[in-house]
Amino acid sequence: MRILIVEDDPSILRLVKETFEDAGHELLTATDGNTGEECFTTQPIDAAIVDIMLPGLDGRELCRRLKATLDIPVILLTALDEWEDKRQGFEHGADDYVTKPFIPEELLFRLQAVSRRYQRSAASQIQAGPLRLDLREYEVTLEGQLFYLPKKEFELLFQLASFPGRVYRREELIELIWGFDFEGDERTVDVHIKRLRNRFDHPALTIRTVRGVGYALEVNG
Amino acid sequence: MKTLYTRIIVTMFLILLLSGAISLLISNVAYYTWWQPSYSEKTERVAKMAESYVENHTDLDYDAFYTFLAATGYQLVVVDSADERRRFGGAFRDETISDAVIQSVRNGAPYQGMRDFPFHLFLLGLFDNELTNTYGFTLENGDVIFIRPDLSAQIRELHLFVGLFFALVTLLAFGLIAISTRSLVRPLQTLTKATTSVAMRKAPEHLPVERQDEIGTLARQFQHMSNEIDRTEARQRRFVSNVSHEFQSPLTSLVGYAEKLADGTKGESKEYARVIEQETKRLSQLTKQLLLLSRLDENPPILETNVNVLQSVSEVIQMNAFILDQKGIAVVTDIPQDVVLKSDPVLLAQVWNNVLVNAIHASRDGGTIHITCTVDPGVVISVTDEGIGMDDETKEHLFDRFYRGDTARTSQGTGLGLAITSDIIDLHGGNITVESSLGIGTTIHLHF
Repeated sequence: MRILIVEDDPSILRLVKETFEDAGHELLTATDGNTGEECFTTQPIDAAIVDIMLPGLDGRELCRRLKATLDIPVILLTALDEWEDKRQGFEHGADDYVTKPFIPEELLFRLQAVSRRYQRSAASQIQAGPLRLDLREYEVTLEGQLFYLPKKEFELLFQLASFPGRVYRREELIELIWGFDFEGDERTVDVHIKRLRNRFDHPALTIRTVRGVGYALEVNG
Repeated sequence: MKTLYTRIIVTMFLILLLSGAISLLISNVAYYTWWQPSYSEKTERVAKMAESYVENHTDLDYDAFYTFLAATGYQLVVVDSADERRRFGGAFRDETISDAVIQSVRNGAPYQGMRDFPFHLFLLGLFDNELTNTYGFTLENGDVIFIRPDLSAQIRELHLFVGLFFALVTLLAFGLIAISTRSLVRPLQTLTKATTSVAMRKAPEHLPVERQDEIGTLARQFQHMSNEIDRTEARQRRFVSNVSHEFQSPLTSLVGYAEKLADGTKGESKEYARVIEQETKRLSQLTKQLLLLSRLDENPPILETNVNVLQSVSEVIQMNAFILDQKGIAVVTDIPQDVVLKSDPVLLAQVWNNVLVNAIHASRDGGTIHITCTVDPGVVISVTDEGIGMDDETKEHLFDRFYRGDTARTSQGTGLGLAITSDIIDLHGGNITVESSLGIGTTIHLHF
């Protein structure tokens, strides 16, 4: 992704830039609002991160102009946990806001979550027995309870629930969820499966271990 | 009901009554001084004419004469020489008259009852229909006649006309006073409403600033004052926001670089870098919380926004999504969709955040945090973790400012989180209860 970040603190810029580039993103930087506006009007970008308090054009206004021009995710950076800021931010079209201090990984994580919503339509939901999984919000609903799962657990559950009864091999799951370059071992899958079992203790749901092979989600009734 | 409205109405009523009484008194004096004698003279002239008529007609039928006289608009009482009384025309309210008077008239001195009618404060002599309020004279045949104009026969219609006129004037005056008072009082009510909205930090509405009178001036001054308050508050907010921003930006760098340092090194150096990272985070948290506390002290918040609990809690969970993901902690909410609290969204989010962050810190990796909500009778939100739990001493000091449980001291937290939370819950008139057992976990119940 090509991401524009507008932030007047050079130390933060550098920190974010390194982390995002390590994750394979291309970063455009601007240190004031006007340069920021110039950036997105002259070059294509996929997402933007904008500090609320900027020299020149104010961050909120920049966000508003950005959203008026492009249909891309925008995250606002703010120093206060204040909903006042947040409400204003949302009024100006921001998709999320991250409070300082943040670590760059958190910013990356939040940007990915926001981008996910852009890639998937609102109808990205699957139903497996009593479980409903929302691929956009990464939420699971079970009998009125709403589960906010850690990302990998959700993806694992989503994979299993996509084809109930189908047996997935551990290597297969690692490839699908953690990716080819994952360096951990297959025990990771076992840990996540164990956690999912603990969390979804429901008579209609069983994550079955197929000895020597892998796992399958059984939906009864 | 001691409203200004009723006070004005009552005052107006009293003014009307008083001015009516004073006017009546003055006119009465005027009547008594100037018009009563001239009025009496008119009757006297009629009496004189009657006398001369009787003189010129020797074989007069007196009864027919009296009847005729009465028919022309007079009422009279005739006392004949045998002291027999007969009345012609309308009845008198009071027909007593002393024998001395009758005797004196019979002796030839006319009775000036009308001219000499005594002064009454509020009673017009004109209307007093008594036998003493008459002109008395005697005729050739020895009859003594007391006569006065029969007002009900003469000017009954005028009487009704004047009566109706005054009744209408009074009635209309009252109606109009009531209406105009309403319009006088209304701007005051508007201004009162405006002060209430300013107290609730809302823009005052419908101020009568267009008016050119004192109320208009007051409204304009009020608007001006309200704008000044807004401006001051905005300046204050901006200042806090700026200060916060100026603090948090360098702290962000500190946290970020300390983290990078920790990632890139091993052993003690890594440990040191972690300490720097954590302490910086705490410093940042402390700054924010102190700012919040000072703001809570300065401007008591207005709790009147309807905040949807599920939505507000979800937002706070999203805000903490990264740390939850890092620790592999799941949050399960069981909150009915329609639960609403009258509150301030910022403060409420602060409450959820503080309790959730505590639960996260207490939880082991891979744990689950449950947030449930019951509505009957009051809204109770419970946050349960499966974490380390607390001993009784920690529980006791949980809400003290700057108190941190021993286990937490080495890692995170400012010791302000729960103190702020309990302050905010107090503002809502609620309370917090805690259940905790070491090694099993903690449940914080927030009762609203």
